[in-house]
Amino acid sequence: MGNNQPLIIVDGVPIDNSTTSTSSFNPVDGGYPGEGTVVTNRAADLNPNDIESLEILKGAAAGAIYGARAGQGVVLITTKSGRAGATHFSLRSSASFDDVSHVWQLQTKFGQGSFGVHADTSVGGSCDNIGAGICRRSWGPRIPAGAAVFDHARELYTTGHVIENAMTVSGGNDRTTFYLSGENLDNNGFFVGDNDRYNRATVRVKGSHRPSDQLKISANLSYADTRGHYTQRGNNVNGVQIPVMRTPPDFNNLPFLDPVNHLHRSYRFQHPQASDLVGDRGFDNPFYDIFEQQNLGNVGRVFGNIGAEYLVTPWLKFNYTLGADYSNDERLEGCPISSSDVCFSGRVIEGKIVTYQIDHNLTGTVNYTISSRASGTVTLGQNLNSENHRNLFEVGRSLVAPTPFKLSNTVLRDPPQDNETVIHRESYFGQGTLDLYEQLYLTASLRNDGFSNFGRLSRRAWFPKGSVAWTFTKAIGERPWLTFGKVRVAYGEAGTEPPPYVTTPTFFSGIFGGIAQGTGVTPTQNGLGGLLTGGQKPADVLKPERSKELEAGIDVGLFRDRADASFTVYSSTTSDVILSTPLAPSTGYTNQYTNAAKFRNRGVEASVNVRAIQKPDYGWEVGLQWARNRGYALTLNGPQYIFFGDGVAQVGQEIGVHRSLGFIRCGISDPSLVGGLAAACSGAPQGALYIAADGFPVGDPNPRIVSNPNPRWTGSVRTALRYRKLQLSGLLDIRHGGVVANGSKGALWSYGTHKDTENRATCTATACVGNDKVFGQAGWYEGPVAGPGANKAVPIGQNWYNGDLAPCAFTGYDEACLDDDGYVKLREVSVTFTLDAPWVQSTLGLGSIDLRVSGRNLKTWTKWPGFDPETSGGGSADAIQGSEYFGNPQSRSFVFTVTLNR
Amino acid sequence: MTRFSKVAAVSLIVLGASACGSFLTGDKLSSDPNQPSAATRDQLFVGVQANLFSSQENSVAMTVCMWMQQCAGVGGRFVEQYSRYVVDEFSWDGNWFNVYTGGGLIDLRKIEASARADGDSVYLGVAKIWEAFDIGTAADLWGNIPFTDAVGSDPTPTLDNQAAVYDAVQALLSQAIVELGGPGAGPGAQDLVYGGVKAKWIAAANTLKARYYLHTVEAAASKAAAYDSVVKYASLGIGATTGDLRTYHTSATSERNIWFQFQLTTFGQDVVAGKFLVDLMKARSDPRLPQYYGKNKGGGYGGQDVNVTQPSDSISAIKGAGRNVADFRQPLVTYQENELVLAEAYSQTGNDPVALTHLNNARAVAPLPALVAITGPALLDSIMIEKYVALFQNIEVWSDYRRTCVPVLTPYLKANPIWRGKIPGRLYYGGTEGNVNSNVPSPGQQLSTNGFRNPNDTADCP
Repeated sequence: MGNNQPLIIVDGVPIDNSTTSTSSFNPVDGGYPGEGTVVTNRAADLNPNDIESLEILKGAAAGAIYGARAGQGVVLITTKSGRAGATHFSLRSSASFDDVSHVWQLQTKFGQGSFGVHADTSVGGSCDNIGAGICRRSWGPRIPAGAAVFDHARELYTTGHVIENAMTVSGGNDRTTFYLSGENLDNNGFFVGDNDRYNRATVRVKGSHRPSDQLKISANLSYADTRGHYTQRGNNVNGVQIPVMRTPPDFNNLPFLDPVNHLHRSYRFQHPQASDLVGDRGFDNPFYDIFEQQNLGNVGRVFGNIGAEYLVTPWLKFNYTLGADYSNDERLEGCPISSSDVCFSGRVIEGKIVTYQIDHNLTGTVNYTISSRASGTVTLGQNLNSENHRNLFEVGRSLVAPTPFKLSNTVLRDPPQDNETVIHRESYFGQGTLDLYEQLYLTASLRNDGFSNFGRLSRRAWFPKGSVAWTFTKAIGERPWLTFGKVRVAYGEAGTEPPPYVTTPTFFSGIFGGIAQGTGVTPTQNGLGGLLTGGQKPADVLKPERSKELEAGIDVGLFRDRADASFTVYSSTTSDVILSTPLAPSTGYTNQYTNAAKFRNRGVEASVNVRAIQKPDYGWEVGLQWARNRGYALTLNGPQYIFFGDGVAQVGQEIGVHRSLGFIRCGISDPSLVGGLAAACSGAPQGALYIAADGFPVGDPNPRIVSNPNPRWTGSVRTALRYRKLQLSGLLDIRHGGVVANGSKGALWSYGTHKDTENRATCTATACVGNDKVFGQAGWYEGPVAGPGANKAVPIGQNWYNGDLAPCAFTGYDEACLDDDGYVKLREVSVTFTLDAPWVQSTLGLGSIDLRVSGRNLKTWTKWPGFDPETSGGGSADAIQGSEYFGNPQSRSFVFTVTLNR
Repeated sequence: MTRFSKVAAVSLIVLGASACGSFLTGDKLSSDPNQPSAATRDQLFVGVQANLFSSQENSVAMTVCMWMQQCAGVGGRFVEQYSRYVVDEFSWDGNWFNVYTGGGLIDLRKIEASARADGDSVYLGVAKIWEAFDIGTAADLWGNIPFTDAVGSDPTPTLDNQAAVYDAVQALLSQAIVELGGPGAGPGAQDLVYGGVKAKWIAAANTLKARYYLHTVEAAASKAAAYDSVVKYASLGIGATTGDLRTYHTSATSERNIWFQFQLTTFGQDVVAGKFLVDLMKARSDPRLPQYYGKNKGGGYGGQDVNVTQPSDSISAIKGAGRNVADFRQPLVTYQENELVLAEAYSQTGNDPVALTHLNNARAVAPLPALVAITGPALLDSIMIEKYVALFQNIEVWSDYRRTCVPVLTPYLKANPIWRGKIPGRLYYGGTEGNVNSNVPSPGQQLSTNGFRNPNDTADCP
């Protein structure tokens, strides 16, 4: 899958909406999307106050208009324009207060140590040696009553705030309109300190003029300046979450600099000496990372378009748009000199991401009328698009002096990263509509796309679409209970393009051959240039991926418009799904982009809105939405499964299910295991957990599908109350089902800091006593069991949580730490009041004042034990969020807004 | 209407003009502007060496070192899990790639084809020795592996029997020895191991032949014949430590020894000294102890025991003086191995005095004093113990253990019962191969075949 982000179109022109981690440009340290410094999505460069309307197109509807780029959906944004009439002024200020919506539950009863023995935390003790196993975890003795404990779940967070000021001036006359806007946003995030912040300043100028009755020319230009300071996250001991949540409850992370030597101290390296300026701390102190790292992204971006609209005759119109989007994103990721692990002795990553896109769009539209009962339009168009990306990055290691974070201040440099891509697209499209008897609406369209990123034999592809809608109430007449009714059927095809350059052979010169993060070599050695045959076999025949979607629905207005309801069913089949498909490495290659699969998606969407009370002075309405979707892999060419996001696509399974290791289970695991599983399972139900003689389950060596992260259904409840100028509204979101492997939980079990480990057996290196559990009973891996140790009570402590199965992040047995990530979330509650009484005009000289108070993510009801079921280690870069590993929390916000209109 | 015609004509020109151009092809569109699209024989040869060096120093070497208890794992993360046999089909997926993909067999075949086309017999011979070493190592680790059908047109190569692969390895080495005597300039300065010295390659090829004959001995129909072959080739093998086949490294970031690089990272510090080897070397007063391990907090040497957790302060890191440096050249095939191979073969064929001479030749390298008046099983044990110590960090140690069960190691006792209380006898096939190639058995099937041992390993160790 080339790209799992939707295509965003602003005023007819596509814009860049990528999210790129700075760590992606550091292959030596194993950086990948979602880890390290992750900055905002480039769609955030758009001033939200400029948005007039936003429309989301999915599936077939999107494909007809945007062809082979529309497979992941299209977001159509139209910006505001000036209107003829008095000049309109608007000034909007908002202030937001943000904190962390949910924190991890950590234990506070047991201290640093192992097997009940406290680590030696004195000066020069074992905890000044990062190799000391006894200092790594919180399996020490019970913390004495009265001794200090520290709240590592909350200590990194404070109340953040966002201050936004925006103004617009717009107006015009019958020939000319203009719109000017400016915005400044200061976001100070909820991490303590000054390195979690983000500033955006934007201006927009938009205008149009009609030199003649037939011709309208327009221009629309926005400049955005976005500067951010970020924190690192993910599987990264220089990020904040791994160090903070693994810190024993009896260690104070503050001060993060040693009071005597003023050097970085951490729980595994508690007393740095003067000679320890450079030295691994095991894990960084999270405050050291927050306060001393510099992770920057500074973006300058200009995007907009010029256009012309030419009305040749009353029935023929031409439209031309030439759009451009250019951004320059300067990055710095600086680890200070006393950092640990891959940042040992300091590390600087500097680089820039330059993107530009030019889009040319020409359409001609004919309005025709055959008779008073038949009319329509015919549109023909051409689109040319050039999309360019360039990344140039360099990693420097070992700071010469502690500052500055500059490549020139480093001792060693990795091979530079220099990557550019150019994609050209050339498309032609036509669309015809026919409206009959003002009740039957027919649409047909056809698009031909040409792409530079496909192979020579399949550079062009056709995408048709057709739809029929019938307003049947026009034929049968309105009824008191049925004021409006429409049935609709649509069929369309959409595509997804592959990444560029997958069809040509390449040789590899990068980093390979390491063990884990921070290790590896290049094919070039000893000043002799070296190359390797690239692991990715060139795609020989690659066709565009094609989704064919059939959608049918009914929309009705009921009880004199007191209510409306809508019901839609859809079924789409995506064939020739483009995936990076594994090859047998013994063929000499590891993977190849192929048309690897056929997927089917089926779903139902229903909504009901009831306007229960509708009076001039007050009203109340309620809306319900419900949707379910099931996506399956129907066929797969070659392998048994293909990695897809965090999960896999496997025939007969839902797309994105999680393949991992689990426990040996009756009827599921290979019956030859454990010396005859079949006999041990005799009489036990399918799926019964096998319990060995020692009372514990056993790891199954054969991987299998252990969980399905896809929700069973989603829904929302929306309500609004209105009393005169006061409006109160609320939104509740529901996601039901979906099970995710919670790697963070597994790791925190292992470290003995998770709340679950507060109830623990008393363990020595050889034996444990107490906290007895029976597998299969009383909520402890509940379900049927079988085997020689079935129903045996066993002590659960360090033996289990830090053992060879339970800490899934380290053992690979993800079945041990699955969690339901469904939720019910009070997404938003807001109160709006509009002041437009005559005194506002007379005393303040204003047309109206809007006051708004809202709360976001106010409350979440969930079984998920982490920060929030909506966050995951991978973030938005993942197609499917199927796993969690030390992601950052979600925010809860209160926003106060005042808008002055004149 | 006339105005409409004009507009239509203009728009058709606009549409047409752009349609017939080459908007979709050309520079940076048709080919990747970021990576080379062609490589020379020399460039591939340097890349192959980088790959085969790192393959002998990374995950497999770390695992073998821990399973053979020269090293141990701590820290509870993946390193310690590996040491407790908590491994799966993706644990060495990357090592499996390295056997066949870029830098492995596919590039060796390209180098050989190019050398053949240019009539450079010496280059061909050196490439074939690397191919034999690459494939021979894979047969040691995984047993039956794709070879006949590998890196060809078959998308799912069949697995050749391990014995057939060893036969092919012997054939490659024999051809290489002949070809090294032929014409051609050879790799010259591109040869990071021997700088193009033919005699050293011929000696190394003979030592490798002896090594791989030794690997067939346990399952051989005639053990005597196998030992005879071992003696025959080892006698032509590496005759001095200056002929050792070692990896090549510099202190440049991406050219450093992988063991050294790994020790700089948080996960690498989870690999520590193994108590068994540390105690053994202390008992032998072995002068190599400070070369292999760093001092523990108490200023002495100690190691972790997978069954009995040792105090943190007693454990040494893998930070020996001289070895734990960026440009340390890891010995892969050495004079010491050659001497100990000879010693083992002579001892097994009843020629103890000659065996003892070769054992003492190897001990002299350490340096350790010569042993005297030792014969029979005690001599064989001394030879294998000597080899176990001398070949620190070398994955060949595992082949010796599986064949001779020396030294006597206690497996991790609390391991998953699928291991039957034994140290695993091979590696799981790479998960990517298993996903695509239906000739590869599932992990469960691998466990239930021959006790998870390779075909050349007929019996469990205690």
